Amino acid sequence: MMENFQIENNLRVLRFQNGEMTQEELAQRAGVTRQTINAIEASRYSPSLELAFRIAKVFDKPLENVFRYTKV
Amino acid sequence: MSRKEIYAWCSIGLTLVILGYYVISVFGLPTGAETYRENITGLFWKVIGVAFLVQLVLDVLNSTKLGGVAKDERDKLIESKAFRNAYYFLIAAVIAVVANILISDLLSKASGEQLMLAVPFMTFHVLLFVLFLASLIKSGTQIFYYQRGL
Repeated sequence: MMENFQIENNLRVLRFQNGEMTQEELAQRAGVTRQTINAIEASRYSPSLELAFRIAKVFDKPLENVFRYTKV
Repeated sequence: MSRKEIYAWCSIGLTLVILGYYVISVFGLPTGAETYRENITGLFWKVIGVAFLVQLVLDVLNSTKLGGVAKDERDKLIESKAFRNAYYFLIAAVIAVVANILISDLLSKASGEQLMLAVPFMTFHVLLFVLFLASLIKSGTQIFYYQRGL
């Protein structure tokens, strides 16, 4: 049987470390709405691979430092 | 609340108002509700006015690119799920209406009496009602996914 995994993220920490960046600012730089960033942070939405790369690029970090695929 | 979610709420409000107006026009107000006719009419215009104003503001925001992105991948995903649900309902309802017409026609020929849904104008009302419901299902699904998350 397939195990359950979920995508977790460090967005809140990374925003804080990057000059206390707001969700609105991150949303603008990633090209999405603030509500989408909020949903990703709260793990209520799993971004597409492209959006995940765009967000990682905003923080200038590799993808695995921003998102984790963890067992539930 | 994202702009698409606000659009969905406006759409629900407008659809309900137009559906209500249509139902009252066709079937009339229920007995005892005649005294509230003025209030009901006032409410219709208020909802239409507010929905129109909100959509106008959102359209201006979208056209001027103020306030960031208007629609992103999450909005598109939610919209596609909403269209899917509305489509399933629409197809099921249309099949039911078509089957009803065929069965009514067969029964009418057998019994020699005209059945209610065999009247073309009644079928028109049913199909219009189905369209309104499909629109409500679309907007309702959008709001559901915006509130609960994907």
